[in-house]
Amino acid sequence: MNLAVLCAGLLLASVAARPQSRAAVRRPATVALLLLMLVAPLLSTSTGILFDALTAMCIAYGWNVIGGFTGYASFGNVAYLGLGAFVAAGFMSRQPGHLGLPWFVGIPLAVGIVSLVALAIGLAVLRLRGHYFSIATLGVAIAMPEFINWDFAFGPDGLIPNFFGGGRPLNFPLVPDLQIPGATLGADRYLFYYLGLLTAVAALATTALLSRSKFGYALVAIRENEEAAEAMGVNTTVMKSFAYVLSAALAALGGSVIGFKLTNMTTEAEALFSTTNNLQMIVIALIGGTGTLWGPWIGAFILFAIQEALRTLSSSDVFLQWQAVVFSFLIIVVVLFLPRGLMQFLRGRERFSWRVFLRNLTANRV
Amino acid sequence: MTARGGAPLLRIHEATRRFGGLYAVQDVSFDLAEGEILGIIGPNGAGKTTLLNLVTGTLRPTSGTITLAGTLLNGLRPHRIGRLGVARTFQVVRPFANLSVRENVGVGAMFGTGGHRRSAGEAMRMADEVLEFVRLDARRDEPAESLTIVGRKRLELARALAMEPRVLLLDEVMAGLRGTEVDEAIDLIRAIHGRGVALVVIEHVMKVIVGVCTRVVVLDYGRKIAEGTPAEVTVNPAVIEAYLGKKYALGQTRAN
Repeated sequence: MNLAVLCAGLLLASVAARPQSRAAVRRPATVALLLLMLVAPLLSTSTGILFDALTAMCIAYGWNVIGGFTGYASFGNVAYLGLGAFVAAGFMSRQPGHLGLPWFVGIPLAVGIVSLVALAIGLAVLRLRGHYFSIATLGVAIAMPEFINWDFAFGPDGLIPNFFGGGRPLNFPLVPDLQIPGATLGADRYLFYYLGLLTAVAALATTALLSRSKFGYALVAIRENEEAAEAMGVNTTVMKSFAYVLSAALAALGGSVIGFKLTNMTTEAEALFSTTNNLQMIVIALIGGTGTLWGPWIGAFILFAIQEALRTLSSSDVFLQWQAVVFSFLIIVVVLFLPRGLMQFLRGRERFSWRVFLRNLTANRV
Repeated sequence: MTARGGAPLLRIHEATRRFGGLYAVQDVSFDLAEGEILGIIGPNGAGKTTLLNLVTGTLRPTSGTITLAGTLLNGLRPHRIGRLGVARTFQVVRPFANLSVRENVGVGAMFGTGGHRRSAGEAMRMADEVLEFVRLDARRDEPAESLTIVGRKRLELARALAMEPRVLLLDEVMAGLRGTEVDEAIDLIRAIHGRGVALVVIEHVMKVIVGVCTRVVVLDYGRKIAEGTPAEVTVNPAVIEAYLGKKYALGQTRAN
């Protein structure tokens, strides 16, 4: 059933994404897509994979702002994903020494704090361009788990003692299933699913606003030619910093909701800061089409539809174990044969044919 | 904006830029009046583009001052200078290749001198007007990368014009154009001038300098070696020497 929802969603998103279609076709398709996502928990008993797809999509939309629109390929957004989860846990945990804030306070607070951290880091790394920027952000991804384990700040006698657990497990509060007369609403099936949907819709709406705004045009101008953009009056430093912060904020939003559902934050933080998570957002944006409004949506649904199909076929976890390898392979294949993602076909200038892949292979050589 | 009779719009005073031991621009001074077209010529490597980069803030002067209508431009970032009313074209054109022609120009209208007053939609409407002016309106929905070199040069001009500049700096817009295309471009420069924009034209094509400029500054090895009307500088011995060598300069003087 989840596979059917993903495929139907993919179809509706593709219709909504076609720029040459009239608004009279695109708007109803967007509305139908959102309605489908709203009723999905009624159609499917376990919405876990849909939750994964929607939160991953939110994070990929975040990567798309800096990597897609602005053209600064970040390899460090996983740092903000993980940090978002840990900061949210720090505020929401009911363990001693924590505030036990409700999710609708704790998660926005975490997103805000991560944004400030990203602003400070962004001002430093955005002085670099091209490969140098990418390498610096990779360093951010590697440094962040160490930062969380930094005893001076977060150790038992640190500045904010044991905020991230201080070596002991840090847990989000458990969410009980909701009891209503005549039924039980499972937290996983309903609450977390709708939280995931909220992150995805927030990311989509943010991107929609951005792509039509002067800010969005400034980012694309920077991607296309930074010197020309600057000469034309674009304050490149400020615009790039905003883009980086927005990118990190969406990563933190998705990350904190993922963490909330996981409940148990291990201080090793391997799962959240993993390379798989880091690559996943890039793969999603690339498959769909970077710098586009619907690219991450389409990319996420395709990726998780494949994952779901493999799971139903083999019923083993082999795919999950090999995920990083598969992602790396997908990056290479997509960059070589379809650098503009599937949006290249949806844009309608080209029909789907093998010749397009071959032309891309030769045309995009530097 | 009050017109202060005779006060220069752009004043470059003893501008110097050093790269290590090399003076790319040394003690260059000249003024640009409101509504003037000034030509800058000089052999390759004379420092023309460096001088332009000093005015637009791409490079900082080592010493000297550059002022626009009394406002000191030294040390300002390029986008600030662009918003104050100095627009430029690039010698090697730099279109936003994946954006449409219209969007390219729209960015100029969004972030130029009056950009803060304009929404994205209004900027696009203004882009349409400018595209009509440079006669690129028929191609406005195509990606900029699909334009030929002539189209790209026109796009470069349109983007700069959409910023509603007070001063427009043209860095070799004629390079790569053929005969009739040069004539069309000269007409376009005159039309831009007709809109009340002061221009600085860096050019190798003398037909353009003689055809549109009222005054010419000649650079050689980073120094200003001559200044005057096109007719004056073309017979100036120092200019002839810079372009053709000492022998020809001497011959010229003897003939005179």
